[in-house]
Amino acid sequence: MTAVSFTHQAFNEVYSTPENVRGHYHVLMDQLSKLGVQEFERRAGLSDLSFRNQGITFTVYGDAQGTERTIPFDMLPRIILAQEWDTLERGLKQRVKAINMFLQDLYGPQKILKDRKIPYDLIHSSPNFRREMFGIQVPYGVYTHVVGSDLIRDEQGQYRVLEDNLRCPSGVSYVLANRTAMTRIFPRLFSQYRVRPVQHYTTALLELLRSLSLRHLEEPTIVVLSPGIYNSAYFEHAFLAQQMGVELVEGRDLFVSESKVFMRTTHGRKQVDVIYRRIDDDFLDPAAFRPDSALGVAGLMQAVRAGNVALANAPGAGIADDKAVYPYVPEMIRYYLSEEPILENVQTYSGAKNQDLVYMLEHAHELVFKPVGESGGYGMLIGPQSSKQEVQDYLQKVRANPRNFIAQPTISLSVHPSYYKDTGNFEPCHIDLRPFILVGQETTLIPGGLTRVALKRGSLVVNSSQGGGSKDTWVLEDDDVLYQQNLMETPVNLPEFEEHQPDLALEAIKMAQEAQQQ
Amino acid sequence: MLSRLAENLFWMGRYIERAENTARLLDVNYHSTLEAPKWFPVRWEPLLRITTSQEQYFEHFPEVTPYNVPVWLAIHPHNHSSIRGCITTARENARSLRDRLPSEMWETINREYFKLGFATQDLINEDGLHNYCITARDASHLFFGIAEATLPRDEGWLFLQAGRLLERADSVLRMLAEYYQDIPTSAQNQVEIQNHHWMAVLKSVSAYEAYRKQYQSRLEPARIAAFLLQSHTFPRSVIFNLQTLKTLLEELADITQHNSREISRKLGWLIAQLDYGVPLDGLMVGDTRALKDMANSLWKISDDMGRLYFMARYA
Repeated sequence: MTAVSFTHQAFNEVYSTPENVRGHYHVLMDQLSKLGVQEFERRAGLSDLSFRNQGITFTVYGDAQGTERTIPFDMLPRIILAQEWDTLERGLKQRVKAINMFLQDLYGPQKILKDRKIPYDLIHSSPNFRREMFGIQVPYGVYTHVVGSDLIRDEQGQYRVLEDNLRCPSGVSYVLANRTAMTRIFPRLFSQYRVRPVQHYTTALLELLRSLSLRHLEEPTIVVLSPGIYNSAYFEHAFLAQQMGVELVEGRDLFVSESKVFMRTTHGRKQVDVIYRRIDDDFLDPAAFRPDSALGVAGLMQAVRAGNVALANAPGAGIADDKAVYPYVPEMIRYYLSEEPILENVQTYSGAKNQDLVYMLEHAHELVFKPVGESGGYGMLIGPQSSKQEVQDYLQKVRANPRNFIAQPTISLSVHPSYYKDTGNFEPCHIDLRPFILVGQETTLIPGGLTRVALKRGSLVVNSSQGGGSKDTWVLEDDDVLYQQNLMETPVNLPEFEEHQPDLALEAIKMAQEAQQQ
Repeated sequence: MLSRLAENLFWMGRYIERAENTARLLDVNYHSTLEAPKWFPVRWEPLLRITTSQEQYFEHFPEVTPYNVPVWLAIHPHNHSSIRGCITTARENARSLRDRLPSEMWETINREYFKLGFATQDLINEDGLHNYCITARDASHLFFGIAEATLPRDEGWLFLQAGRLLERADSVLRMLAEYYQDIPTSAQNQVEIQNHHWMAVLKSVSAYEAYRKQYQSRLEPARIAAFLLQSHTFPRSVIFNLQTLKTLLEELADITQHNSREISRKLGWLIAQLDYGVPLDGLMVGDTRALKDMANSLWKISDDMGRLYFMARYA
């Protein structure tokens, strides 16, 4: 195994020591080890084929024609205790509440800047700050309705927030697809745990979107706006639209007239009330943002401003998940809610701060560097895994534009066993967790979220575009391990069959022959 | 329904039907040339003309050979109407319809795409053409069968069917126009050649058995033409498809409240021509202009539909 040395300190989700399985994993590990390699692989094969045939894929950019791939599905589920989840849920709700208050403040009075809790320059130099949003009233004062925050567990097993995704977080479709796959492949195993359900996500999302409608109609027109089939998350867009029964549209299907948004249908035009947009701000409206965008709808922002259409998530929400703003989220919680953060951030150095920059340049080989404007694991430097030359080259970019980089200590993400076909063994892989939070009048979470796995041996990068996989995430309803019972062991008593069943056809022939002879 | 989706459904119907038709033509021709007498000229040009791809073909191949034409029609990456091309495009259309199509339909076309969309020349080198054609034909049957069983009978269904019916009528018209152009005449084994030729015609539209059931006689060119153009009971005859198409377009006009009287009128005229035998007059002496005109009118009808439903200008 080529894992770097610090992975030895990683928190192990399943084993408390190399010999001891944690209580809530007992039944799972026990039964999987009894299953045998052959049977395990047979089921893995079935699941692969099923994902492929259903077209549960993402598109890889950079390849000639946008190759579709399935995200490797790791069949070992991750199990989260009810009590742990409870803390996570409270922490995340607190966090998104503060973030939304921050956004409302920022596109309004900007008190937090005036009180010097966050540097003015940091906000105003960010491309994610959208001046176009000033003075726009959003329903319930909520800017980011669908949030997918990334959590990791550090060496002590403590959950920390690695980043918030407030614009178009992806992955929830895999949460649902993974669950479906798991219950099909291991129905009996699954039924032995009391796992909290996740399949109601799309219903909750639909309710949220309905509540944003500004026309107060019985049946508002809701659409999912996608960049189209070449987008890496297209499967998800289509899946969500289908599950909610709403129209999946592209920019070219919509147009703005009299500050209202319409879609082109075979019946003529139809007014749109709520848009769940899965297009980045930049491409949303060529009249307001990037003029060269062919994906968006010209005049959309004008319709938003006129209060004729609601967007989830609102443009400009991205300023709060700018990697340079992220270090200030705990401060926001204290400032707006007068509470201590329940979930901690990962310690973060920001190139925008002078003393941080000095530290970053001196300790580069211990740190993970990230450009603030990138996502999907692109453009990172992992100090301990890079050569001296790579580090030097990277630091040149940092010196040229320090504001554009942050650095974090190489926390060893927790590990969880995953199955490797080449060795026929379970090996520890780093994982993270992306829960999905829906924010409207109320805030709801589906239990669990997407557990992503760094399947490349020794890798810390869990992104699917970098070869990561995912696994089903089980949140237990009840931590009492006695409830998680080993039912597979229960012997079944079948009544014994009779030794020999007379063959009626043969009987008939025999009788006929006898009759003839007589 | 979104105009873009209506258009995608229409073309998905056309492409899957086209894959099926090309597969049938190819399979029948490939195997009938294998069985043909040695002195019988192997003919592949007609297939290029039926699929209206001869010009494009010659951009990629210098001459017509029994190897190149199957490659072109089955898998050539530059032929968008090849079986592989049609299935790929249809799957692309289906992908943009994923939120609307019943999952079973999507999964079928997706699965068949994995079987058909990546074939290479090995297909022909390893004698796999027949299997490939059968797979394409079955893919179409499976796809439309599932549509029949699961797709709500709304506009979407009507657009899908319209594409399919239009494509099928067009394909039969072009095939007949081609095969009646030079009816084999003088040769020693007249009957043998005639038989070979007409069996291929009938089998290319899966009509051989149906024809035999209706007429227990030898293969007569006039009867075959009448059967394939005018049969009111055979589901691949031109008139059958046009009449169904007409009813369906009228339903669409009702649902969408668009005025499509002009399209109905054009279709009605084609149906009348077929029903009263006009195109049969010249056909037996090799004059196929009437059929070609009809095929071209069908293309115009397809265009008209596009203007009416898919390219509506609102803003």
